[in-house]
This record gives sequence, C-alpha cells and structure tokens, in this order.
Amino acid sequence: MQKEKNIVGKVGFLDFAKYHGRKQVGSSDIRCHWLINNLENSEQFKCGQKYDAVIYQKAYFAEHARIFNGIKILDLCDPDYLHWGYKIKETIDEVDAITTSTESLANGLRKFTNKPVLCIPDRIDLNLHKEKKVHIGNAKKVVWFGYNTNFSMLDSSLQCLYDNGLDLIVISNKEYKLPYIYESKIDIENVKYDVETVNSALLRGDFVINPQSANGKWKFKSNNKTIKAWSLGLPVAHNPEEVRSFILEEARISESNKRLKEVIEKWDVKISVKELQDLILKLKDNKLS
Amino acid sequence: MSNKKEIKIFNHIWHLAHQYSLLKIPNTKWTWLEQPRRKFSDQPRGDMIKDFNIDIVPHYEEGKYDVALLHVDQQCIEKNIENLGKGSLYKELNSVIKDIPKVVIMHGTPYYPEMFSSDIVNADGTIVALPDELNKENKITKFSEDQVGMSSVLINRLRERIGDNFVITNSFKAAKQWGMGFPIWHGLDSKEWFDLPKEPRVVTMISPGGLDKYYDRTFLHAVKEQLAEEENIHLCHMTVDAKFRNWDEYRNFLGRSLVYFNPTRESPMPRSRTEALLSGCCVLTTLNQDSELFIDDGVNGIGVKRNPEFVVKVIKGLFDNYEKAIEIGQRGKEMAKKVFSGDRFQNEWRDMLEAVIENHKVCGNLKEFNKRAYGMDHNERIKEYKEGRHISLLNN
Repeated sequence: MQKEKNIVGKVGFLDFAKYHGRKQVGSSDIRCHWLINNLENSEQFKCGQKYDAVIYQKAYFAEHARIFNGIKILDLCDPDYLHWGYKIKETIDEVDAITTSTESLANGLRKFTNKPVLCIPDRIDLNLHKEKKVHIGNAKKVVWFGYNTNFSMLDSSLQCLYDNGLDLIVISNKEYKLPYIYESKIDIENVKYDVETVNSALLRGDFVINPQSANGKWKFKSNNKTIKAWSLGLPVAHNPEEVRSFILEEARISESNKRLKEVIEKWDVKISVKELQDLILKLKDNKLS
Repeated sequence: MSNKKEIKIFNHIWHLAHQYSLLKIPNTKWTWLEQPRRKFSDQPRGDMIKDFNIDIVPHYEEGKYDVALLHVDQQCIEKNIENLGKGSLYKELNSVIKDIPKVVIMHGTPYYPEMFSSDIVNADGTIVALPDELNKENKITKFSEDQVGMSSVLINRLRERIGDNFVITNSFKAAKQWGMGFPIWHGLDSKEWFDLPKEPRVVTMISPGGLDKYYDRTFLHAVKEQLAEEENIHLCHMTVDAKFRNWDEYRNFLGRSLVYFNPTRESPMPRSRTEALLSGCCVLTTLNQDSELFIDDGVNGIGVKRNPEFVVKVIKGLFDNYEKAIEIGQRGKEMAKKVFSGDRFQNEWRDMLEAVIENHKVCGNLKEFNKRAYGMDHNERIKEYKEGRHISLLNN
C-alpha cells in the first residue's frame, strides 16, 4: 500500500476511541485511522511519544494541548458545543486550528473563535473498500447502517420499503425493532456492526437507504455513509423517488458506475491527507512568522 | 541539603499517596507525563505539583532523564485494559523510552481469579497452570478457598511484558509470587498522621470498587452486615459511607477511629492500614502479604482469619474494652513509626535508584543487577526493616 509522502513531520492522531478507551468508533476510523493508513510517519497517539503535530479528534485534552509546542489541531465531526458536557472553547483556545467534517459544522464553530476553521470532509480509504457490488435483476433487499441513535430516520422510510416489496437489513450497534404495524409486512435482518465485516454485510443488499433530515443534529451530518456505500458500488437512496428508481438493475448499474468514478475523483482519503498536510504547513509557517 | 547528585525521574500519575512519599526522595527532580489515562484522586496530598515543583510535559524526550518510573498491576494485561485502559500507559511508555533504565512499580499480585483462571494445586503440591485458551475465551473456572489463587498465565504474561526492567513490589510475598521483583515496604511520615481522642468507631478503607476477590469484599460485607445485625455496630467504609472534602478531613476522621479493619486477601501492603497504625487505631487485619511479619497478634494489632463471626466478636470485644484497644493502637503506632519510617523508605529508594542507574550505565542493561537484587536474602532485609533500617542496594 503506497502511503503519501509526509512533509510535515511526525503526526500523532489522538482519536476519540483511544482517548475514551472505546472500540469500534466509526468517526475515529474515518477521521484518523484511514488517514494514518495513507500518511507516512503518522500513527495513533502514543503516550510519551514526541510529535511534530497532534490531531485531537473529538478529544478535548486541553491539558495536553496547553503544554504541547507542536502544531495542534482539534478535529470535530459533531456539534458537541451544543451540549454542556464538553470543554470545547477551552480546547479551541489551546490549539492552532480546527478541522471539521462539514461546512455547516465549520460555520457553527466560526461563531465563537477567530482561529482557522477548515472543513476537511469525511472521505474513504479505498484500500479498505475494494469489494464491488455486482447488480443482477430487480432489487429485493436494501440495507441501512448507522448508530441506534439514528433509528428514528429509518422509521420514516418503512412505508416506502413496504410499497416496493423490499426486505431490510439493519447494520447497527443495537438491534432495530420494526414498529408493530410493519412487523408482518417487512422482512428484517439485524446485523451487529463490526468494522471487519461491515462491508460484506452491506454488499448483501442491492442498494443502501440513507433517509436524512434537515433538522437537529442532521444539519451537521456528513455524507460518510453515502460515500462508503458508493465506494462499494452500492447506490444510495435518500428519498422514496430514488428507492423506486433503484429497483431496476440498469439504473443501479448506471448509478454505481457514475458514483465509483466520483469517489475516486472526490472522496479518496488521500485528498484529506493532502489537505491536512497543507494546513499543518500553513500553521507552521504562521508560527515561524 | 544532601550532597548527593540530583536524580531526574520521568513518571506519571498513578497511586498518588504512594507518589507523595516518592516525591520526598532526597535530591530528585520529577517530571510527570500529561496523559489521558490516570487522573488525580479525590484527596491529593495538597498541591503536589507546586509543592514539589513537578514539571508536566506532553511527551518523553531522550537525554533529559536518568531513570523512568512506570506502573503496572495485574489488571494491566487484561486485553481491553492493556489496549484501551490504564495498561496502555505501561505498554506505550515502555516502547517509547529506550535510553534510560526503567523501574516498574508492581502495585498488585498475581491474583485475579475474575479474569485469569487460577492454577490447580494437586494433592502432592504440584501446580497445574490452566491453559491460556480459558482466559482468552473469558471462561472463568471455579475457584475454591483452598486453591492457590495465583494464575501462572497471568504471571508469565506479565513477566514477559516487564522483560529486564527493574521491578519493585510492595511486599516480599508479592515478589515471591511473581517470581521477580525487589520488595520495598512503603514508608510514611508519621508526623503527618493524627492520633486523636478515639470515637468508639470501626472503619475500613479499601478502594470503592473492582478486584472484589483480591480485596475480599465478600468478607468485608459479611462482617459489616453481621456487625450491624448482631451488635448494632455500624462499620464505616471510608470514601464510600463517609466522604471527605480533603486530606485533613480524612486524617481527622481516621485519627478519631478506635478500630481499623483490613479485610484484604492478596493486596500487598495496604497503605491505609499503615495510615491507621500511625493514627493510633487498633488494627484488625488478615495476616497475609507480609502483615504476619510485623503484626504481633494481640500486642500491636490483631490478626484475623476470614471468618466474619470471629471478626464481629473481636470488634465487639474491643468496643467493650476501650482501654485495651487504645493500648494495642499505641503499640501499633510505635511499631509502624519504625517499620514504616518515611526516612527509611526514601533513603532505600534513593539507594535503589542510584544503583539501577549506575548498573545500567555500566552494563547497558539490568539483567545481572536484577538477579543480584532479587536474590538478596529476604530474612536479613526484614530484620533490618523491623529496626527501621534497610540494607542498601548500593552495596550489592
């Protein structure tokens, strides 16, 4: 696997999962581990190790940032500042810049800091998404994947699935239970989310459904689920019209080809690696000047 | 001011009360790593960072320190804890620090039946280590009181992680159990503990949760329940039943307690028991992990078996014979002032650190030094401890 050349010195990623001692955190994979896979001289933050730059991914470790003299970047993918339990401002005050997964999140943060806030979108480690869906015949089964806290959005798409005679696979950290009115109408299979098997579980579906909202936390959500599905050759339906259109094999093949091209052009994590290195270089220059 | 050369020590937060004693080692300069795994307890000994001029740093840097002080216990090699919890600190620092000798404080003993299957002991005394697969699959085997609680799997795994680093254990028994380590009994400044007029009160102080068998919480709870039911005496588990805003409140409460009960099974040298001794409390304790070496039963403390009924009777007896409890407490205090002298502890540590640094400098590793130090005669060392002295590693 060819990694990108490192031009910024040793980079340590203190990811949310590591900081809190958790396993299987999607955002830590996307925002840290996939970048590490593609950037020379970078690693998951190791206690005691000296770095030239540290990325604090949703890790509000202000005590460390305060005494660390290298380049410090706080990376956010959720509007944690809307919850009282985090020390966001305190950490922001100690870092050199903030990166976010979406522009809406960046705009939210710019309201209370003058420090550089840059959106580096969620992207895909293509080396981990080599399998591709082969589309045959009319669609019979769709997949939804995500945290159980987002089940409410899934509820909103059940009628559409029923109307189109589609079965449902749910990949999540918890079991999804159909509302009773759909219990006998839709065949459902729950699959426990596991980073090692999620791709093969996704590929068991004919396409992915990803219903979204414009309210609450959804305003800040990235398209990471959509691009993950695209990178596996799976079309993504965000609304009933798209669900209906993807029933047909030709439509899915056409969409799959179009999106695979887009993923390579726009959503390769190597682009994020470049954007991150550019930012670190800029911050280094600022510090020197 | 001593003429000894300053020793620069790289360390991080672990057991703060213990570290408070270490910070007093003569002519030492301490640097603590800022890290996300271990934080301050509720009762720090004042502002230790300011009082001892500790540098807090974001990372380790070669060439700046003479020795590193790392910490482990039996939980640290449990898979999740080793990768995601406190065990990762040792693992990562051990891999990062390469240029200086590393002294590892082994805070526990190889007794963790909740996670590591205990060995089976045959009638002829031979030991059968249960296969590692049982641990990997988290299949906990049944464990009886008659079995040796130690796990060979745990011992071997930890010994492998430690390698040639120099290990300090808190008790002689722990060193024997691990098959490695140089025991140093802890030491406290007796002037910091208050022997106050005693309330007819029985207290205990073990960590609030976790390692249930090691601390023997079943025994503690049985004593607590029976005491209340049969004698209407209410045992206070300090920091659980009674909370303290600061160290002064804790010392005041402890210093006014007539009886201190230590239920632990394999905890090596519980520190709070020594604090109770120095506070003039009458100490009741299980006799294990070296306590049998300094508790003269009925004279300077009372040794108990893990039998709740017996303990209840003893506590009731002490409440009925207040003066006798006071007398035992006073003799315990005099013993502890000598055996657990802070000066002895700090000087012994100082000697040990000098010896480790020197040997590492000369040999490039600590292999031979470890053998010599671990092999020192325990009986001779214990004899010296009882006189408030130590046998220096500098001469070995």
